[in-house]
Amino acid sequence: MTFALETIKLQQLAAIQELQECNQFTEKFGLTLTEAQIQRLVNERFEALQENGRIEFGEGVLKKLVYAFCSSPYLYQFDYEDTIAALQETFYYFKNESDDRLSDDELITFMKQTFDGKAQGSLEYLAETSLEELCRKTRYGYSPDGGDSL
Amino acid sequence: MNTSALFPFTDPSANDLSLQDTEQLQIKLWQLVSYQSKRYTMGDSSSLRIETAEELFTSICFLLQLYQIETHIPWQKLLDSNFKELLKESRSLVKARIAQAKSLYARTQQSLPKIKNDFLEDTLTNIGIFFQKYDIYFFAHQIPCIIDYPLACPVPETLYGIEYILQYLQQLLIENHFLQCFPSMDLNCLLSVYIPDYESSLINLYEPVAINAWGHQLLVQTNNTLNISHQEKVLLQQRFQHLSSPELHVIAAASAKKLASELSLSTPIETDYLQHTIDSLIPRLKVALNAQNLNGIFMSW
Repeated sequence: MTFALETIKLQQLAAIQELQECNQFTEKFGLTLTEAQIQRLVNERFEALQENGRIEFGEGVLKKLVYAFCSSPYLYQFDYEDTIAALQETFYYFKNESDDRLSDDELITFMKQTFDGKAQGSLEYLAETSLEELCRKTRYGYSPDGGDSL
Repeated sequence: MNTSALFPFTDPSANDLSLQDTEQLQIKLWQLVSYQSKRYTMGDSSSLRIETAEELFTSICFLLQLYQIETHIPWQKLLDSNFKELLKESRSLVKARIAQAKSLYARTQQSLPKIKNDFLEDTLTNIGIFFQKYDIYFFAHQIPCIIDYPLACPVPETLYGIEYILQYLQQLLIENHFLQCFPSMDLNCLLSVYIPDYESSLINLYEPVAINAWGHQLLVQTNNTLNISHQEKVLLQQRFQHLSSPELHVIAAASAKKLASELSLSTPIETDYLQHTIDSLIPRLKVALNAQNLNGIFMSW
């Protein structure tokens, strides 16, 4: 449908603008994204959504991830784009795994705490150990407030 | 659940909508899905599973279509309306239908036949659960309960949500009312012959009773029993074996009407239902007549 394509285009433009605005904030942490990197991240957002069978309305989660993770001591300029892309994909994957029982903010907070804490910047540890456990417990009624204490 | 029947208005050719109108409609629907998804997640999540978004979309389509059918306003005119307002008004229509369904449900429970069937009981219990679980805000097209008990005339699969339940209850009430016309002893005998463990079998109770009652009407018998003896089957065989299917349909319609009148089934809808049930028997009856064996049609004991 034409209108669907138009809507996606509009969403992409909005996402690009959001990330451009993020640069102003993340500069003080020594992190910036080039136009090409922003474009790639936005494209990956739609791929990640599609791969995880999800649909997004309005603002995406990229901006929230950038704001949450830019202060991490384990995030460097040289792998900034790759890490944000991986975090984005991890985020959508675990939204599904938690049966949507975790809000965006709860999941991002947990991811950030674990990434900076136990995982010490390891995306593998974050995804394969802590988030798996969190989602398993969430499905059985666990409250995510425990954060890094898992 | 095949919900394609809920989207005829997204097809421009079906409603004389221009391509431009259809695009405008689709944009409005998209905005409404976005609005509903925000309400559904209560702002906690920017994304949804595609299946959930599809269900939200289907619910919107169900509600808008209900409104359009009820008001008869053409889609071209509705396009200029505020869709959020339309959704609100559609929900009011659904609420009225829920009240109507609850009243029917109470009447159906009071009119249960004096014979037992586990599936009928379970289905009625489940319809009670439907009223607790039915979500008119997000999933108005869904039927959140299990309906096992089969009716003699199945409810069309093009009905969804409360529309389906209303129709189901109306038909069940007709069937119950009919079954109440006969002594429970007779019903028990007939159904025991039809299927020995009828109490725990997934069968419709109305149809075999209606067929035997109709057989009696054809024999011009006025006694209230449902039994059709083997001699009576021979009589029926002789009377109908040379008739064509169209002739049988004509006789079936007339005699079903007479039967409804004899049983004091007062409403036309009850007569129509009986006629339709008998009419759908004709192909089977024709085969049985050709085989000179009416044992599978009329029950004897």
